[in-house]
Amino acid sequence: MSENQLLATRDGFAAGLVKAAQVNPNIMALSADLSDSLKLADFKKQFPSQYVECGVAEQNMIGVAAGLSLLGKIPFATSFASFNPARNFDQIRNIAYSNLNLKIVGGHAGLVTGEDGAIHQALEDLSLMISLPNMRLVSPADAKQAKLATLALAKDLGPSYLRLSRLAVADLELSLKNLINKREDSNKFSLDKAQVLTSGKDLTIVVSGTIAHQAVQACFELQQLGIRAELINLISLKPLDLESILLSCQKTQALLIISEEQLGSGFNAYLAQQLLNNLGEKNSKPLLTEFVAVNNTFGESGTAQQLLSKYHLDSQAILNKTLLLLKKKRKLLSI
Amino acid sequence: MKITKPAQLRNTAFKLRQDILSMIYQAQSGHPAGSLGMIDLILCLYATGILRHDPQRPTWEKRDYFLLSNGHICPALYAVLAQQKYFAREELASFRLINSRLQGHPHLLMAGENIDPKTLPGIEITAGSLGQGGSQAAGLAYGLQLAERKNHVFCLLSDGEQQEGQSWEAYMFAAHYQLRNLTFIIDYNQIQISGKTREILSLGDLKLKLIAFGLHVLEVDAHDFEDLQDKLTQAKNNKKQPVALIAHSIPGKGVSFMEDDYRWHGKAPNKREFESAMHELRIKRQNDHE
Repeated sequence: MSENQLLATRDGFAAGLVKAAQVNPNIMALSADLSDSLKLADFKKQFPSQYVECGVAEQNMIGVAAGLSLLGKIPFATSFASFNPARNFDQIRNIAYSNLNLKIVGGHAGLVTGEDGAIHQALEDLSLMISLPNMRLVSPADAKQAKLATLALAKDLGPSYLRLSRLAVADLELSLKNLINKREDSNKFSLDKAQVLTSGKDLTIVVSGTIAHQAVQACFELQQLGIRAELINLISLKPLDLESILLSCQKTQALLIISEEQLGSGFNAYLAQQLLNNLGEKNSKPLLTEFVAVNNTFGESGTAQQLLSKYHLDSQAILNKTLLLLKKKRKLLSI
Repeated sequence: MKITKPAQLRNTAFKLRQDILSMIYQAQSGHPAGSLGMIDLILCLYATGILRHDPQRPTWEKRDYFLLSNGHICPALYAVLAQQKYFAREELASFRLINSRLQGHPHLLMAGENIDPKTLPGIEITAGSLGQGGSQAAGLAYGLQLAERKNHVFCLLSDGEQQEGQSWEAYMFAAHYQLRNLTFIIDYNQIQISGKTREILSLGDLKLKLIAFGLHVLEVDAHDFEDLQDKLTQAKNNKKQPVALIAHSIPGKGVSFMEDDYRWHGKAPNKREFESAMHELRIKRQNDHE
């Protein structure tokens, strides 16, 4: 992957899976008739016996994956997030309970799925998956992260969910280059640690997935206004590196949580609960929060950018929420 | 512990029926009808050697797999596993109690690469949400066939479970990939929790449907040990295509007031009922012996 090429996280996943299979013959890819959408053509060609076409039967696919996992295989069960995990959640709950080593891959997640319309724009997948014990949730922001995440999940034991999008985006590290407060270690990849991309004292922004690019753009515009945001990108949503978030919030006392999903459920609600739980703990200072998420509505057809704009998840919306948050912070600190 | 003579199998099954009733009576919850209806078949699989297995090595890689998809009839499986010495028979008394390995519906728990000790030895899958075992069996059979391994996979499903669309997804998959090492056993006891299956949601001509889905269909009298041995062996030896074995059973079999009565699908007997059932089984066993 060249660094200035636009790629989707699904491309990174597919490249990662091929690489994982090159060293581990137990890696298997399962498809529910969406292998092209998940970019599995190369995998299919290189590892035909490790590829299982399951047809448009997502429930059965998870059962088949479970059976393969019982034999020591490492199945990656792929489809669109609106069906996988939404249609086959019961089957996924079963494998999470058993703590089987298999990976659920949900493509076309979020509003940025675009023209296919609301029915394919999964905004509930994180909510479903975050509720499951044992389940690891991973949401990469660019193709490079998706590739590394896929390789890491291939080695990780246990069930996990990899959230992918079809929107082609730049390399996140590359798009940070205009930010004067970019941190040296911003491109450090780990499933266990949050990526603190920039240093800032005014507010903390927590983001995950390809929408991180909107947040980077907003940070650039905030920079013009003299506002320094500490931008934290989460590749792993669960387990959550709460410590890094709390450390930043100690400093800024203002937190903007951005997630491309329904507001009040899923990751944003999960993080809010963790933060509330921490209030009153030693060293905890008052914290103001704002959210950028889809507010109790379904999407529609349109381009990714149009949808992010209309549903208030684009860099402009992030900027507006930031200004609102900083106004609240000033009020708090002046009392 | 191999038992192959029908008379001995019948004798053992009477005792296991008593174990099933004791478990459900002590827990004051559970599913007697299906458990009593399938005990002969499950015992036949494990005791006659048709199912290749070793209680000393529950995860032996050469074993055949028995997957219970209709997890609610687990008292029957637990009773057989105890009889086969997968665990001590005394542990049956912990059925459905807190901290027990004998869950109300069976669970398989993994801890990394190993099986979590909270899993009862011999349990292959988590079950209880109907429709899922068939798919897991298909995945297992697919993987075994891919690796050219000889293990056979038996999966028991209920007739009510055929109302779950996923069961048919699994049949389609099994037929498409010609899984020759897979037998679906369908407990055709004609009842489900709320009534007779044909009144709740008719399965229509089940046999024709299974044939149309590409399965080789066999039928068996689920209370005749000679027929059971014959058909289960035929199913295992059929190397042409996946098999569906329709097992005609009587729910509640052995306890006259439970037989063919859907109200015993998921209800525990009270003290009087329990004692009467245990007495009946004792008498029947003695008579059968003579």
